[in-house]
Amino acid sequence: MLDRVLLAAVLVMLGVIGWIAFNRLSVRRAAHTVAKNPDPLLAGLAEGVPVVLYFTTPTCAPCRTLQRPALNKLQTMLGTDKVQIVQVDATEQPDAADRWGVFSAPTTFILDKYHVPRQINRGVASFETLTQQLAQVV
Amino acid sequence: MNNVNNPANDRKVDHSALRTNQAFIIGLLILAFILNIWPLVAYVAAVMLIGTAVPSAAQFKLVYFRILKPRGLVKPDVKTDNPEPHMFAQLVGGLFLTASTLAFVLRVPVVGWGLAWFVVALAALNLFAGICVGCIMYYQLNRLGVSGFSRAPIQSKS
Repeated sequence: MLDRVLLAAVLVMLGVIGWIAFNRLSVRRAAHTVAKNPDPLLAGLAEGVPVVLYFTTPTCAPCRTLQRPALNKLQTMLGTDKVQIVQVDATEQPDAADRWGVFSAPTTFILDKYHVPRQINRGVASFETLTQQLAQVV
Repeated sequence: MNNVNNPANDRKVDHSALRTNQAFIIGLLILAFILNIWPLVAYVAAVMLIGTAVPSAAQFKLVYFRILKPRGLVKPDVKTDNPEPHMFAQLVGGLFLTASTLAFVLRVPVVGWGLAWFVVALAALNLFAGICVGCIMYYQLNRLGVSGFSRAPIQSKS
């Protein structure tokens, strides 16, 4: 039985590693896409200020009840000179969602001050998580 | 696109019940693998399929409603949502586990366990990342106007 316990543990770890790797790949792909052609979603944003790119849909209840309040708190606490939040309706801009590899909502990307994607959150990201991630890209 | 919707206020789903369901599915399937008891996979398949056909008989959710919730061990998380996509996701999982059971009966355990772990992965994606693959499939079929997938996503302000 011990061998099966170990195998189960390995499979679970592989799943977790696979998920992390998939998300890292998504960020790299987004960074590569943005580097090739400036993304219209980022047009007009202040340079030198990190960005939270937030994909949502009208049917996403967690977006409304959890993610949006967390982003509002983030903006209030940090101010517009420390973070810019760009909200994108993935149903109205499906091409943008495709470009960024978004297939569920909410999805948030953390972009550094050069507007290079550095982190992705699939699912709700708490205020604490977002704050921590922004601190890493400053 | 089919768009049969009661007023949104009538459509409520307790997501704590869904998460309890997913946790049981994941836990029991991993336990089945460790103990090498494939009939446990068949049991989970039966619970999922019966729970889809007769929602009031969904055993894992009953544990939540009758034990965990009344005792305050798990707090309710009621959201405006359609139950049908979640039922469909459960049906898909149940069918995969039925195929898994068939594989065991036909003495192809590698396929059986592969399918069981696939269901574990889907349930884990739902439980930990909030991504319901079955729900995504349901709403895609709704958009395509496929008969039987009549519920469109409930609009909310975000």
